[in-house]
Amino acid sequence: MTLGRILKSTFACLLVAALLAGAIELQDQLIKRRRAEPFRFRDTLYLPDSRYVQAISLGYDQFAADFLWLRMIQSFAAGWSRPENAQQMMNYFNVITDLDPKFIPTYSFSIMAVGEGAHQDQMVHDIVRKAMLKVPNNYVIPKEGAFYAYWQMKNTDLAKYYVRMARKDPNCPAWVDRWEGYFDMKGGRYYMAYEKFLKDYVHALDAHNYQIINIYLNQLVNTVNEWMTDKIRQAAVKWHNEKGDWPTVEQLDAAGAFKGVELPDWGRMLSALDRARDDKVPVARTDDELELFIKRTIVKWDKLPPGPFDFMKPTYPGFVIWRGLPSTDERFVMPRGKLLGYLKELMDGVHTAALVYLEAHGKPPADWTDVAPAFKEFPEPFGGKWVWDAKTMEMYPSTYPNLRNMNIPTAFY
Amino acid sequence: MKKIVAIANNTFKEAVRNRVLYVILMFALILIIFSGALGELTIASKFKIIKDLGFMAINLFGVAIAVFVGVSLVYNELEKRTIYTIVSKPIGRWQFLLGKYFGLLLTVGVNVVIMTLFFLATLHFYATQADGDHNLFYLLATSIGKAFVNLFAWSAFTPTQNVMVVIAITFLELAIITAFAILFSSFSTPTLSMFFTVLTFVAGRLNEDIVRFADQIVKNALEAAEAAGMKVHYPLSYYLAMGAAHVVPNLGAFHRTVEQAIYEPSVNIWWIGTVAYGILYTAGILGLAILIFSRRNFK
Repeated sequence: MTLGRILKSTFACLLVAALLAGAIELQDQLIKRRRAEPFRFRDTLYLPDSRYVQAISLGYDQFAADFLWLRMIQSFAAGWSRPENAQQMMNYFNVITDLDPKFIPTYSFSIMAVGEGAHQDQMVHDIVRKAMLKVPNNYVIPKEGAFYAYWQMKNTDLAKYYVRMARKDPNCPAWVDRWEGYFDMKGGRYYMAYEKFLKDYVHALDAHNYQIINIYLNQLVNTVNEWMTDKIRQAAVKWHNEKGDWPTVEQLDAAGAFKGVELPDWGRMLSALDRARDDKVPVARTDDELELFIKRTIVKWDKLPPGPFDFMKPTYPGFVIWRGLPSTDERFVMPRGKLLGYLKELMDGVHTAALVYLEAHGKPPADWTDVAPAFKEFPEPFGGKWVWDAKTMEMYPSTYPNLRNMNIPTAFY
Repeated sequence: MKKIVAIANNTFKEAVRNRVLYVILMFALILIIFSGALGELTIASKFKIIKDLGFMAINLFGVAIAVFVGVSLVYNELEKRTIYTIVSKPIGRWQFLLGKYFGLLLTVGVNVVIMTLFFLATLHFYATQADGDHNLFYLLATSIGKAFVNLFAWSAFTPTQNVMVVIAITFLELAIITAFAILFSSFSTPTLSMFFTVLTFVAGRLNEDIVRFADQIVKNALEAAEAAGMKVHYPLSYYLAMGAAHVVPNLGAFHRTVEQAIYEPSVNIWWIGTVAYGILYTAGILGLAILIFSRRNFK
């Protein structure tokens, strides 16, 4: 090789190296400049109507849907807090599910994105409706719709409708089916809930499916309890409207407020079920017989009947009308034991507040009103009054002076 | 038959020397192998993404091979005048063309098998990985082994059930595209042939949209006639669109089988109709190609 050729080759190599080095240096500067800017995800992807995307995808619809799905996840993560994000998610959802209507995770993800993230109830409804149309007899999305309709929208009718749609899928799990009764119970359709759970209970007995029986029994107990609670609440409100004060359950009963009330006869029902369980005597042989049995367990009473817990837990102390509270339904009428447990927690809180007061002021509070003034608006639930023990800095209801030391087992309520 | 086999064999040997083939194949294999990485980006349906990407890659790159290799096969023979040495022998033009077609189809088939092997191995790799903790060697060995078994025992493993049916259907779709490549190659230049074949593929994939387009034309005509209170006349564009929809291959029929395989893996796919359609259509296109080629003047 001659010197000339060597020089020529060296020069060529150096030229290439210099060009590459220059390009890499510029690239390095670009990277640095880019990194110096705060990262902000910009979803610049233009989403045309799904019909156009479908035409462009040339039949590779699933692949196009996958690509947009990955993009949708990124877009949601980057802008979930922005108000316009819900609409953007909906756009993605529509295009993806038009390309690949059976792509179930897109439906689930979209419900989460526009529902739980942005509380767009109508959008969630549209998503579930599209799923029921495009992927009929698939329980997953109607089930999620039911969950959303109940927990987020508090719409038990819509939730029940979704459960019924979900149930059309033979693979729908039994626990989704039970939601229907639960939604009926929460929606105040107590007889329907009672009928459903009792039927399911009897079917489980007939099938000797003893594992599931306790679940149905629990649901039955809850339903009948809620049913009774509702009757008490109605009677109490009526009393309050007529007389101006809030009665006790005993006062209502004595005044005949529960005369003619229709509630399940738990004793009659339980004996039939126990016989079926122990002696294997069927509760009913046909569906008609079962319907008749369920109807016969509903009895017209003269006074408030004993509830399920009166049979199951002999120490059960019945219900209490929690007077004077802003009437959130859940706390307006509640089992006595449950209320005691709740009060015990409140009294513990007052004691802790008193200790904090002592540390802050160097002296104990003069009265419970110093640390828990809200209780002024909140009469003692059992008809007594609030008592303050200055020595121990404890507050307690006069009806249960030993409340803070009471052991309240869960069986109590 | 022997003559066709000999020409097919020769065509195959010629095609595998084409470097374009290897570039396309390499792209396809890289895409298939790394489909798992794309699957990692999702929060659900990882296997669906791997499958969709795999099916898409095999189909699209199969079409690319058929187009890039197929369009110049007949043209090169004419251009290099080697056709004279062939037609001077006792070989019919139809035998020559069929030989070319089957040779190209074999090339496409071999490539599809290679891509499928990688695809199956990828699927088995991620399925086995999801099953539990395994070392890399075990994962590779089992996934490659299972992929080979899968080639012959189509429903041997759960995650890849129906995959081979889809591949077979895809191959049928590629057989139609290959026939078109041969048809256009028999009377046109490679550039034009490539253009025509790609357009046929696009039109075939959009066949059902052409029908929808025709329906829309009728709907518009009906609305216009109703508004004017006149008797409706179907416009010429309707007949043209419907004519096109009947002539252009319906590649959407093959696409639906893919969808079924992804979402209903446990169901036996009904694909006899699709196979019959594919074979008849291919035979028709090849017949047309033979008809044109047998009347062609080589001067």
